[in-house]
Amino acid sequence: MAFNDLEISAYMSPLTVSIGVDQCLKTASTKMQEHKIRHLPVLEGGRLMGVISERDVNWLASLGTDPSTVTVSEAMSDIPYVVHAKTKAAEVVAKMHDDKLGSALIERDGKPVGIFTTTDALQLCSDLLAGRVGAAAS
Amino acid sequence: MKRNEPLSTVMSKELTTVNVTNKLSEVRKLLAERGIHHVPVVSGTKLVGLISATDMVRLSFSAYGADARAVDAMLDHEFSIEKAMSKELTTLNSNQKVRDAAKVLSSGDFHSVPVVDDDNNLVGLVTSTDLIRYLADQY
Repeated sequence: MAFNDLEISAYMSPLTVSIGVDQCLKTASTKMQEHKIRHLPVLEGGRLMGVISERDVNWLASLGTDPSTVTVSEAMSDIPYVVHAKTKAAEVVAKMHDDKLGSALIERDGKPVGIFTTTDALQLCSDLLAGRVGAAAS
Repeated sequence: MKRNEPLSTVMSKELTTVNVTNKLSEVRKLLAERGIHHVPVVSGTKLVGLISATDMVRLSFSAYGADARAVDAMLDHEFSIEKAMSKELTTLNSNQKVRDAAKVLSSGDFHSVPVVDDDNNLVGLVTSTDLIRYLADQY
């Protein structure tokens, strides 16, 4: 499949579990480790409020912050960009580049199902250049 | 998208660098004034380390709330570039390809890779942003 036809869901990192806004960073970190994921969608009453990443948690820990005393809502990132799982990857990459965004949240039927970060974009770039995706010229 | 494009296609060649003998306060000012996230540290023309904005924020945290002058005084009194910089660097050789940079940066472990020649002279820097721009240009 060519780059321009590739859907974003092919390169997103699935969001299989979530966390509440009032839970602490230690709980968030434990969930990420248990599920081997780097991001958690943050929900309040079933409504998506933001995303907390492993990097957010590690960053605060590196400053000497006790992760059991900080709530997820204090450390999470807002969600500036949400797209449907069928959106073309090329379109998402272009938007992230133009607006200097670090991630896009992927939804299906109104529910968050994945996140596409710059690391996922770099994996896509690597796969394209290695000929693992699409038709690249030599 | 060409599989064998040289690294020079995407890397930045006009770099802001600091010498290992500079003060950390000078690094803080460079990062703040130029809006850059990484500064290679050189000795002469040789690459010896890398300092990121994240490193600087971490070092400055104990002076949180103080004015810039107090932060600079603390940085220069308690730390040095030699102490603060990352020394065990992943680098790319200028002979390598864009695909090599994509492979290295897709690990997600860091967002910037210095490019050196065969004698370890610094010749460029490739960042995640450079590669996202390259990928976006294919659309």
